[in-house]
Formats: sequence, C-alpha cells, structure tokens
Amino acid sequence: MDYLVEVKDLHTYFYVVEGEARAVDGASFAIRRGQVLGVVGESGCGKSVTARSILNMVRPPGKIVAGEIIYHRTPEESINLAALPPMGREMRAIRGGEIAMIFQEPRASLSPVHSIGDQVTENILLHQQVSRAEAERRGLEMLRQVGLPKPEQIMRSYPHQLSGGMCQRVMIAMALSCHPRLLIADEPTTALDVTTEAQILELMQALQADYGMSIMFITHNLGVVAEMADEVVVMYLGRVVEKGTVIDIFDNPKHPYTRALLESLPRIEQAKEWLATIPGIVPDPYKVHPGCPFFARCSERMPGVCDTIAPPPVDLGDGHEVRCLLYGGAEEAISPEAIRTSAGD
Amino acid sequence: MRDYIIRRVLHAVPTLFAISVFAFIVIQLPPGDFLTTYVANLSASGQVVDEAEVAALREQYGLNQPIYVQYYKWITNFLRGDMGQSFYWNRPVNTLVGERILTTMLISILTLIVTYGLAIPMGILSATRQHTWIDYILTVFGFIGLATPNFLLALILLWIGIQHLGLGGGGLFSPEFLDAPWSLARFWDFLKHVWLPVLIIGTSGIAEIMRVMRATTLDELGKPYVETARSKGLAEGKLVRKYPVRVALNPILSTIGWQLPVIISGSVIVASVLGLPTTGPLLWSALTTQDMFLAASILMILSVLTVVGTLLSDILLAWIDPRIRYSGQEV
Amino acid sequence: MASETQRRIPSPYDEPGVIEFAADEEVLNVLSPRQLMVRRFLKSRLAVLGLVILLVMYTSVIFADFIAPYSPTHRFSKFIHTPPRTIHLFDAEGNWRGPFVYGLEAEVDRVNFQRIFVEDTERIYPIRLFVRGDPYRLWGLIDTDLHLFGVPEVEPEDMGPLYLLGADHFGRDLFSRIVMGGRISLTIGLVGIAISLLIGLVLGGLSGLYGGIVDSVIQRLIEFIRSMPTIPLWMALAAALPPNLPQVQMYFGITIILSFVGWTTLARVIRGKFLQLRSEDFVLAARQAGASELYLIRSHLIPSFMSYILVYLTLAIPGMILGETALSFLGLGLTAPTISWGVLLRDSQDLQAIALHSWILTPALFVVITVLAFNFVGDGLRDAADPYSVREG
Repeated sequence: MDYLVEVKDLHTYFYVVEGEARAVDGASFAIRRGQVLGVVGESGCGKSVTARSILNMVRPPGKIVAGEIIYHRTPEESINLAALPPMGREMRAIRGGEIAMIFQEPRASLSPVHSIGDQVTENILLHQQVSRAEAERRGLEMLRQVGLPKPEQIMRSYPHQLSGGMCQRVMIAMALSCHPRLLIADEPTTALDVTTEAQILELMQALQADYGMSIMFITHNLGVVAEMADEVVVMYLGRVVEKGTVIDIFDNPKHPYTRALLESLPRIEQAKEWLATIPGIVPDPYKVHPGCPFFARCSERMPGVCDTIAPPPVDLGDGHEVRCLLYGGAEEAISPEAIRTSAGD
Repeated sequence: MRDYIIRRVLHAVPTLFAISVFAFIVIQLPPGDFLTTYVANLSASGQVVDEAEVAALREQYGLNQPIYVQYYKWITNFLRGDMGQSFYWNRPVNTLVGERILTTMLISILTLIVTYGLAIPMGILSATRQHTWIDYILTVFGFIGLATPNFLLALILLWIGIQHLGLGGGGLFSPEFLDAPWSLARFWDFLKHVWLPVLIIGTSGIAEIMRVMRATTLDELGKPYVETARSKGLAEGKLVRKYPVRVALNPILSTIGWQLPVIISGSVIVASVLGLPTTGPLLWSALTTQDMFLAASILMILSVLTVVGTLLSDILLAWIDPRIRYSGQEV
Repeated sequence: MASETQRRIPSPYDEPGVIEFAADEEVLNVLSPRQLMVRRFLKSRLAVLGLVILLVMYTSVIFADFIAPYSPTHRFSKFIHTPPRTIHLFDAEGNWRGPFVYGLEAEVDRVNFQRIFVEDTERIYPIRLFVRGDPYRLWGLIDTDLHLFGVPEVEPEDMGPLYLLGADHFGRDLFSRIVMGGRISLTIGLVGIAISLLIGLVLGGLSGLYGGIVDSVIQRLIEFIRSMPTIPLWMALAAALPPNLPQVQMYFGITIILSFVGWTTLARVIRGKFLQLRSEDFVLAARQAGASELYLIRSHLIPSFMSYILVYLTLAIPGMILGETALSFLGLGLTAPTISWGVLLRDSQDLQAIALHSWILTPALFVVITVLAFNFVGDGLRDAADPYSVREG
C-alpha cells in the first residue's frame, strides 16, 4: 500500500468557555500517493479541523490531544507530523512546500493589501533557494498554468480587482508553486457559482494528472465527490463512519448515515413528493454520549446496543470499512468511550 | 487621486474662513472688551481711571468701531501676516506667538510620534498575547490612561518629580539654555526635559490607540488570509507583522492626522499646568483677560493646524490604501 | 434503500405529535434579544463592577446632603488643612470599641510654624449611624438635620471634626464637599449628553433620511465644528459667558458648550447607520411589503441602532465630565461658591499645596473612578449587544 499520509486515531479537541469540544474524536484514514481522497460530511463534522490537524495548524484553544499523522515523504522516509512543534522549522518547511492547502473563500483568503505577485512569489521564496527574479518568473509560469489570462497584469493586481474564480486560481497557483506531494482542498468551490466550479474542478483534475500529486478534497457536495474522488471518507461528529472506494460508497453504501446522505440528493428520475431529510440536527459537540454518534438520528438504530457500545471498524473487504454495529462489532463488550464519557458528563 | 487632493484642499479654504469669523465672534462675545477688564482690574486695585484716557485708548485700538469693521481689519492683516497687537503684553501678537509656535509644534509632533510609536506595538503585543498577563497589564493601563484627565496626571507626576526625583519643577530647558539660540545641545537639553510633558499629553492618546490597535488586530487575526499565510509555512511573528498588522494599521494610520488636533487640544491644559512656554498658556491668559487679537489669532492658528493635519491624513489614507488608490474613489 | 423504515418525513399537513424525535433531543430555551443582552452583560465582572459603582455614585447624588457628615460650607478655622482622620477600632489597651476617632488638638510647631495635629488618646468619640448634624433642606423640600453617619452629641470644634478625607484651607470637610460636588459633576454629563443626543438624532436623522442639500449643509456644519480643536474651543466659548452669570445659568451654559462639539459624532454615526440600513435587505423587504417611511424608522431603523446609541452614550458621558472638570479647573467654567470636582481641584493648582496637603487631589480620584466605571459599563454593553462577539475560554 503506497500511502502518502496516514491519519491514525486522531483526536483534536477545543477547550472553550462552554467546555471541551471534540472536533475530531478518533478519526483514522489514509491518503494514497497520487490519488484523490474525498472527505464528506455535514457542517461541523470535523473535516476542516482534520485538514488543519494534518498541517499541524490547529490554533489555541484547539490542540491535537492524541493520535498520529504519519507522512511518508518517500517510501523509506516517514515522519509523524503531529509530534512536530507546530511552528518549528521542520513543520514549516513541509507546510506549503510539501503539503499545501487551499481554502473556501478565495477572495478573503488573499491579503487585501499585498499584490498577487507578492503573495505568489512569497511561497516560492519560502521554500526554494532562488533569487527574487527567478521566483517571480516561476510565479508567472504558475499563473499561466492555472489558466489565468494576462498573468503579468495579474501579478501586479490586488485581490479585490479579481473575480472569485480568478482568486481561486491564484490560490491554486500559490499552493502548487512548490510542487507539493499533497494538496488539501477545503471546500474550494463552495463559494463559487456552478460554472466556475466546473472550471476549477477541471483545472484541478488536469493539474493532478500533470503533477502526480495527491489531493484531499473536503466537501459536503456529494456530486463533486463523485466526480473527483478515487476514495471517499465519510465523517460524522468527528469520527469516520465509513470509508472506501468511490464506487463502493456510491453504489453500495453501508452506514445508515451514508445512505441517508445519498438519499437526500434530489434525483430527477424519482418522482417524490417530499425531499428526504435526516431528522434532527447535529448534536451539541460539548456533550459526548456513549455509543455511536449517529444514534439519535439513525433510522436503523438498535436501542440498548447502539447507545452503549461505540462501533469499532468493520472490514468489508477491498478497503471498504464501516463503523456500524449492524455489521458486527457488538461483541466488543464495554467500549472505552462509555467509561470516559459517563464519568465526564 | 490628484482630483481628490485638489478637492480636499478647496474644501479647506471656506472652512478656514468660516472658522476665522467664528473665532472672532466668540472672542468678542463677552460684554465689554479688553479695556473694560483692564479698567476693572485697575479699579479693583484702587487706582483712579480717567474716563477721557480710556476713551482715547479705545479710539486708538479701534475698539469703538462696529464688529464687522474690526473683523475685516483683523482678517486682512492676518492674511498679510500681521496678527495685531496684544493688549495685555503690549507686544505684537506675531512676536508672542512666534516665540512659542515652534515649541508648540515640536511638542505636538513629538507627542504624535511617541503616541503611535508606543501604542501600535503595545496594541499588537496585547492582541497576540491575548489573555496573558501582558495583555491584562496593558489593558489596565489602557483603561486608566483613558480615565485620568491629563492635567491631573500632569499635577501628580510633577509632584512626584519634585518630591522624589528632584526635577526642576517644570519648564523645558535648563537655565543655561533658556534664551539661547537653537543648537544641537539645546535640542538635546530640550529632549531631556520634554519627555515628561510628552508622555503626559500622550497618555490618553496612547491608551485609546492601543485599544483600537488591539481590537483591529484581533479582528484581523481571525481572518482567512492569515490562515493562508500560515499554511504557506511562514513563521508566526513574521506573518503577524506582514499580514494582519499591515491591514489593521490602515485605519489607525489613516486617522493619524485626526490625532494631531487632539494632541494640540490636550496640550493646552497640560502646558498651562506645567507652565510650558507654548501657545496653550498664552491662550488661557488671553481668554481670561479678553486679549482679543491674541486669543483669536491663537485659536485661528490652532484651527489651521487642525485642518492641515486632517487634510494630510486624508491624503495619506488615500495613498496607502490600494483599494482607494486604484479605484480613484473617495472612501 | 432506507425508505421502507418507520421514519416519517415532516410535512405541513401533519398533526402535531406525530413526528418522533430522538430521546435526547435538545430542548431549546428561547430568550428575547434583550434578555440575552442582559445575560451577556452580567457575565462581565468589570461591567457589573462599573454598574455598581455608578449606582453608588448616583445614589449619593440624590442623598448628598444626607450622606455628607457636614455642610460643605461649614468652616472649622482651628482645623485648617487637617489630614484625613484615622478611624480606629481598638483603643490603646487593645479593647474593641467599634469605629471611633480620638480627640484632636491643633498645635503650632515652634520651629517651622506649621500646624500639627495631635491625637489625644484619652478622648474617644464613637462614630454612629443616623446622627444629628448641620441642618439642611432635603431636595429643597424637607428641613432636617439627620446625617448618615457622624459623631453624636459633640461639637465638632471640640473633638476635631470627622474629616474622612481631610480638610481644605478653610477647614471645610473635603469629603462633604466632594459628595456635594458630585451633584454637579455627575449630572452635567447626563444633561450634556441628553442635549447632544437630541441634536445628534435630529440632525443626523434628517441628514441620513433626506440626503441631498440637507445632508450637504449639515455635513459642512459638522466638518466646520470638528475642524476646531476641542478644548481651546470650549475654553473660548466658556470665556464668552459673562463672569457674573447666576450659577444655574452657568451650569446650563457649560452643558451647552460641552455638547456643542459632542453632537457631531453622534449625528455622523446616525447618518451613517441610516444610510447603511436603507439599503439593507430587511428594509427593502419591509418596503416591498408596503411599509411607510415613518413605520420603517420607528420599527426597524431605530431599534437596530438603539444598542449602539446606548453604548455611545455611556462612553461619551465621561468626556463631558472630564470637560467640565477641566474648564472649572482652569477657572473658565463653574466657580466658587458652586462646588464641582473641577472647582475643588482649582485649589490644587498650587504645587506647594499639593506637596504639603496631598489629600486635596482626592476629587481627581473620584473623577477617575467615575470615568472608569462608565468605560467598564460601556464596554460591557458593547460586548453584550454584539451578537457576533465570541469569548474564548
């Protein structure tokens, strides 16, 4: 298995006035070299915090409390990113140089008082020992590659003079300028209109093929996942509830949450009166209940079982894994969750 | 951009004119005039006053003419550089003001520099070390600085200075430099004495700007582009200075010109308390003795400084904010 | 797929009670925005502290004569410049006596001819609540001589008066004078702010509502006023008031002068808010629904910046208080025999006096505390009113 990044049992918590918020509560998955991993889930399920944890960019009052993030720079060289000091030299060299990130609101993610050229060349200068002139040349080339017209002019422009789509292209250029092995894209097209979205996705696919890099694509849009991803991870309340290839997830979803998500997609060929929704809302992150996180809203819940035992991962073969007691795992007696949370409630 | 500057300058002219009228009227408002006060003071000290003599004086100073005539004479002279005669000091206003205007300007500008020079780093420090003891101390200082009237601060610090530090009791120069012409040595002596008044005058400004800087920086620290910078692998200190601070500085620096009038205004009382040779105490005594030309002229000069200061600051804002520079609009 | 389960999809035609919710569904507590604001305000300890201080201050304004142990004009010529009295609890033998003061003797030092005050530990004067003292007329209506505290049944001259904060150069009790001075100093801010508010609301509202020429004229006016440095302007205007004006008129003259500049900030802000809100979606929506101009103003615009106005007021009052203090200190504002904290501070212009009798600076302390209290409350209100402010743990 040629994994690029392995996330193992990651726990990232936030300590605020209201209490301890478990943004990521035991997530494990892996990203293969050269592949696109789609991460889906509702707002608040922890996808963004997971991304930032990988880059060790979680700010106080949040911190990574447990788990490992193994980055296999080469098949021989590995390093645990979670153990590195977040603002240390090593981590900072990796950030932007080997693992880069693009964000949701492209316009707001660029500094309003610095020129595009300044911001793009900054990344190159940070990670590559080149002269300023050379960095500018490379930056210009990147802008050209992401399909921006008149790149020289763009270099001198400011973010407020560009459209949202153009800003996102700039962000992509910036992120890829040092040819990272992994690109983390946190809902990059959510703030864009559908036409622009299609163009950006197309661009990302082309670049991914060209550079052979991996992409971790975070989104709540299942359609985009179907289009872009090779493998999919479904998250709920800080945990991975199901993961597998994109075919498996879409054609053969096992977890009730995955199924409910897919069913809530409006489909033209099925004439239904009412759109399907998942009843209830995402629960309070400060109250951790023993058992499965989806218990309260699950249509197939088993009272007495699902609310006491936290489902362990069940391997369904071919990399398809699910955490649901419907498929086994109930034999794992008392879960550590139950002890921990009933004491801390 | 140029249009903007021209427009602002053109705006300033009628404003200054209106101010001159207003200043003149206000000075004239108290019943009577300088001579009335003068006579009253003389009578109070028991001296006999000759009516005819008073009338003659009145004629001489032109105090018996209608107000608009007096104003016209004053403003035309003012524009030519002659600000009239001070009754109280019996010297031309020009000389009196001229002696002090340099010191006033120096103190004001020094205070401006010190205010921003201290407030901005303190605000940034407070924001980046939020909730630590540094933050709390600075916040407390900020509150107290805002609450304490500066003339009181002047009194207290002066008292401490006399009691415990043996300072000379105010004044800006050591005796040997008092009337000497300006030189490097004199300037250095000046700096040694002026740091206390500067701090006193600037305290409330420092407190206020520090709080604003802290708040704006905090706001900016949470914005997406800061995260982008971090994701590029920039060191924290460097990225704070390059990004959120740079953005937060905009509103602060844009109002630099507006701080100048506040400083000028605040320095009047402090200077009066400390007995500094600036225009402040001069204005104070001019107002209490109804020394018309002196008071109106000083008021006018201070207003001119204010208007010019704000004009410069608006132009500065238009220049440093690329959003305005490239769109050519007035914000 | 999962459509064959018992899950019901909520529809508008369902009867209530049909939908089954999960066992641990959260119960939503609903509070009105005002209640939320109050709650958030109370969470800030500084803000609550400020509020308490202000309540104490303004209560003492109402009951000033009662709280002050002596009449502010009562001179005790034997006890000029007495330092603040020490209140003892235990006598010289160590017995508990409750709060009391010793008798005071005024002597003249033979060497430097300065007054010294010596405590006589033989004579003990207990401090009691609700004692009879200098007569006064409460609120101009009721004649009484009851005071909150004091030493009963002794002539002050015999015991050395109960100077909580010392005496001034006429032997008058500074504490009593400060309490009485609070009446002027604390209320001038309120009156001034009321005037500023009125003018600011009207002019700012007109400016924002009608735009055009009205707006231009008012904006020019505001610019003009703000072009002049504030304190010199105040000084000049204050000097313009006739010197022998009766004190009541002087009081109002000063408040008008102070609000002369103050309304401009408010007017600008209100105008800004009006302009901004006019194009807000919720106003457009109301207009579409057929709302009239007046209705819009009353029900939408004003409530939306009410909290801002409140915050502005709380933070502007200290400016007025400081303004009056400064003007009176310079002799351009209120003058003796009127008592305000600024007037009291005029005595401290003399550096020698401060060096020898530092307690005459105490009115300054009261000014500072009041301003701080207003600032705390204002900050607390601002944080409470802002629905987007987040507090980290």
